[in-house]
Amino acid sequence: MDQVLEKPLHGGEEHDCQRDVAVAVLTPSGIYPDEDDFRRVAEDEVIKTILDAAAEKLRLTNTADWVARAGERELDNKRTFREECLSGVVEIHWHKREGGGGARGSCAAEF
Amino acid sequence: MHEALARPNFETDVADLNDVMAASYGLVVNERAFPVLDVTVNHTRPLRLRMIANNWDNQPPSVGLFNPDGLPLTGPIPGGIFHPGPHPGTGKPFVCMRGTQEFHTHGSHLNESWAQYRGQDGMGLVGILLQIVTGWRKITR
Repeated sequence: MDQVLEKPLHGGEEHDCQRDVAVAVLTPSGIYPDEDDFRRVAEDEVIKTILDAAAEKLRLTNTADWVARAGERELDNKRTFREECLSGVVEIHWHKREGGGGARGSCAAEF
Repeated sequence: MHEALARPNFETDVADLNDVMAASYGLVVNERAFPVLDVTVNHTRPLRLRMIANNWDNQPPSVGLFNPDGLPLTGPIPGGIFHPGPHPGTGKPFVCMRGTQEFHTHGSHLNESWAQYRGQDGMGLVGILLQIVTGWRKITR
């Protein structure tokens, strides 16, 4: 993904101690904000705010059981980017949690 | 479902798996032509998934597990949503997860029909694929 940002991520304002995060949300229905860009948000932004914006743009109406991950790590959507130790360029994978019987679940009963 | 109906459904769905998405998830798309979506998951233990969706989306896709070279998956089946089988219908290991044909045709899940999930956000072909990919990454890391 090409990063298109109008200003550098860190600094740029003499008294601006607030760091920004460049975030993209990748879902099964598309990418927010789009395939070529990241959205700049403050570190103190709550992750859910960005997920809600992604849902609105991608017209997702039922994401109650979706899970957001950064790399292999599951995120707490109610926390901020800073609280989840996310900085710089962040790609959030957001989709439904895998579910079903599983090898130790009800499928196993027949074997 | 007639191919004339299933094919456009398939093509619309798999279009969401673009190059950016594939790269971010560490996927290599080997084939993406109706009715087959075939991808390799680049991971500590690579996995090739072959989804066959002849009747999409009246029926969920059948999902096959393979080594990256396309031969049937060898080595231990790690658990989680990955079941060593044999599946009563295919005789093979399978993905025991809602959204796969092997799950919904399994005797243990006949009361959990595909109709409950069909059309839901995140239960398209790419959504099902990403759930399986995440399941593999979690269990084999």
